[in-house]
Amino acid sequence: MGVTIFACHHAAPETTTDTPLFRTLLSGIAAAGALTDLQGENIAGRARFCEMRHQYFVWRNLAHGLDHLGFEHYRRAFLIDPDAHPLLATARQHCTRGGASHIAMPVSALPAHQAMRQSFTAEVTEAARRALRAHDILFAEAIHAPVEAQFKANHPEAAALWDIFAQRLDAHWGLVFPRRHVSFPAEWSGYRNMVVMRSEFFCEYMALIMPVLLAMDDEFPQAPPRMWGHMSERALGAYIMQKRMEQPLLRVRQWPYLVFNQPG
Amino acid sequence: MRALLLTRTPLEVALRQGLAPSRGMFRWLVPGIGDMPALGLLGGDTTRLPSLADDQEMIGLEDHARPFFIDPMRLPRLEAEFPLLPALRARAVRDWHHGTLPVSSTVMAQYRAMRAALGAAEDAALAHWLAGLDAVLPPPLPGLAQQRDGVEYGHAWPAFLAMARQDPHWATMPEADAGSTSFILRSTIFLRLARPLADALARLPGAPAAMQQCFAARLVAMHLRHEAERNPLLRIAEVPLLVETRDAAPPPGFDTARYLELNPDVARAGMDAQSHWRACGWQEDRAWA
Repeated sequence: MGVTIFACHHAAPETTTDTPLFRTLLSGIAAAGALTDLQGENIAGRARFCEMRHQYFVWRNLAHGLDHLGFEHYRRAFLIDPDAHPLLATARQHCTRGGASHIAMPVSALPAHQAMRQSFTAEVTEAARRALRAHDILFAEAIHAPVEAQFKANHPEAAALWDIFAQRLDAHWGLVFPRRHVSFPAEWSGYRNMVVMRSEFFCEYMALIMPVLLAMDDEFPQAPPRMWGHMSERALGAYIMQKRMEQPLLRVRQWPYLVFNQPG
Repeated sequence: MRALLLTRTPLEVALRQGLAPSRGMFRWLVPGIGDMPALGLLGGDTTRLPSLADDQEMIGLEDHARPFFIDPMRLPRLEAEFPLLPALRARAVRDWHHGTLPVSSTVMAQYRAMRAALGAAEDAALAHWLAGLDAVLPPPLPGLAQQRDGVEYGHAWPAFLAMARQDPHWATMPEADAGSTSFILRSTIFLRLARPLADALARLPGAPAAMQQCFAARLVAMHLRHEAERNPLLRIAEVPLLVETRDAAPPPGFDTARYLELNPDVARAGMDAQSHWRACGWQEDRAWA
């Protein structure tokens, strides 16, 4: 059983990564050397799900072959640095000394970062896997604010949709698994839809949110772009809180990530 | 998994409250009692510490007044036997990024009772949890006590650090802003820390315990960040500390003159002994008798 982190792309990238640990995953398009969701069971045509399209494809087609799996973005990547690579020395220092949640990197460093990951030896890959497997859930950048208020402030045009989502998720949740003590909406969430988690948790989380979101996609064809992606990331915090209530020694941690968005 | 979490407990607290029998990984560390050495904070006679660590895979230290919120009990049993603790767990999962969780003395008492009531199933769960980790630390936000110490002792820190840097271990290590003397570490990491830390604190003969604790916390943070840079895949669990919120009345027999004598930094700051005890002295386990 393995650990794989999928980098979610919606346009063909210049370079791809294809190793047992890191895989480029395209949605809605195909490109040489990259996995695409234009196969198997998929929702590639539902653009309002943004990176949830990638998560759906992995859930329905690949998750059961993995014991941990994760998702990153085309330009955002978890700081996974098993052999202290010089490219990441500054980022590593910021995260260990300053406790930064993320580090901005030059766009020009992205190919070198992909090449670094592609070059991991079997030994380095195993070290990274061991570290990832030591956690049950890793997520990127928690925002500590009441989720509902935070969503409505950021997406005022979709406040009514949020109320429907919250109400339906609340009802559906009780059908998927018992809830105790934690209510939705939650007080915080891990954003960016970047997460690495045990496969069983990922499948449970997807079974919790996807039926609700797919029904809403059918029912509200005029919903704003990317809306279901924005809503889903806000459900993650509530899910993690619920799991920690049930399993208090769950190893959950915010993990720093790199954003390749700086000029130069 | 052989693990030991030592709870530093002042003698007067042990005598006043009594202590539940040690069990599992949890052990009391009371200076002058039993076969444990009088370790004080981390300094004092540290000769036994490496040998203790040698026998363990993980070793930890915490303060009686600020224990780690280690919470291994399944929810149904917790709800049945410790009815105040499910709500504390819910707070912890919501406020996991806080370094400390304030609790009432009643909740704290129930938490201590829960620890004493852990059974084989919980021991196994704890062992499994620890087996996948290299370090258990409070979340890296400075607590109020640390902020206060930073103000109170900040002026003395540069001179102390300059002395500490005479040891090659600390010579080039970057500074860290805040830390804690509460931790559970893989023994190999602890052993790399224990000797240099004890040697550095030995350069502060006669310094108030609170100052030693403040400086020890900063050195521990420096060391652990250095470890994280050496090993970017260090497996860390962040666990908050519990702190009682009560306005602690001075204990029976509290003598103001003796308190100021034992805590010269309080006297130098011109503070009233009773006010200092109520505000923070009890939380810092200040000596009073």
